[in-house]
Amino acid sequence: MSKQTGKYGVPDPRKISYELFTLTYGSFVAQIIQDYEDIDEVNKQLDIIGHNMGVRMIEDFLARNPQIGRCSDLRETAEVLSKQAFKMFLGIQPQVTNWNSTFDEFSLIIDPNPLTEFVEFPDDGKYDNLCYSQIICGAIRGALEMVQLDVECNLNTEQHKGDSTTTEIRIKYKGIIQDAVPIGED
Amino acid sequence: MASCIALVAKENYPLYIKTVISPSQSVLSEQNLKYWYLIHTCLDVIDEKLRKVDNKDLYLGLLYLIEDYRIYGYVTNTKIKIFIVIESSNQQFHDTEIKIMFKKLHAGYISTINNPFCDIGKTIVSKKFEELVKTMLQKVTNPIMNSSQTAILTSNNSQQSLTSTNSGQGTGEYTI
Repeated sequence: MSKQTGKYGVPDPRKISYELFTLTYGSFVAQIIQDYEDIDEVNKQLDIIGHNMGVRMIEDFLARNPQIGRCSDLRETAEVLSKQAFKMFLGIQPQVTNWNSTFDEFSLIIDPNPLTEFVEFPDDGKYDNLCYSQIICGAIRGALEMVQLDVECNLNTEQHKGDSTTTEIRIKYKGIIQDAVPIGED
Repeated sequence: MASCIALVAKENYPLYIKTVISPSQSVLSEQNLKYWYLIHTCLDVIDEKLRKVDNKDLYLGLLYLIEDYRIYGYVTNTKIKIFIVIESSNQQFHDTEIKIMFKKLHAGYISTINNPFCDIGKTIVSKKFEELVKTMLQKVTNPIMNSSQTAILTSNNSQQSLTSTNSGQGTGEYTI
């Protein structure tokens, strides 16, 4: 969704407008909240949905960027994530910060977050625990899982929590996934 | 000097009101009743205007002058009506300024509606919208620029009047 025009400057009919995307995601989350009613369950579902998206997005991403090879360490992964993957799918480039001492964890600062463009949470405190951008975390986790990288991905802060107006995603490296024999085969 | 900004829905029920004197009252409280009464009388004027002319102009201008209040109206394409009620003394406002205020209110309303957690058709509860309305009300009640402008004009004994017949005048230009 980074460019609206396809080949030869003709508008690509598969691209949609930024506002339509934001509004679609917004009504999608509102509907999920209505369906599940429990905010923790909603967060879990958003994560699962993101995960399903991520395992598919990684194929698309690697197909369009064949020059990206194996990353030798987490820092390279972070670079590729922020500079190329986010750019390609969301049109934004988050900042990579807050590395911990062993370079196992880092934060992605998304500012501004296109998903939360018009969102304002009602004051009655029901939505205090809602991780609105959990879908992004799920997508990152799913995509990296397909390249044998096991990470834990969580939302640290989001627009409505506290005074901050940005979204911060904390990514923690857990290990390399070894190829396992699929269940059912010997 | 009292003033108020109010929104009325398509079916002519009240959506939102903010006044200077009682800024944190609920939409249908007693203090606001006076303003709702004024706005109610304007609804007929709006109906008349909408029926008579086919124009696509959203800004309806000065709707009504009643007991020291001037009421300006604006209707969106979705028939949401926005009112600005000003208790007029000697301060007059440029048509263009009011138009700009209405445009901002309209844009603010659209942003509020785009919030997925906002119930359309219910009373508007939104911090961003409240802040926007608060700044608008402050501009309306304490327009320092405008009062100095009127002072200059009256002292210069100009024939020009600051009513809506002025066109194309910036806030800083006066031809005498």
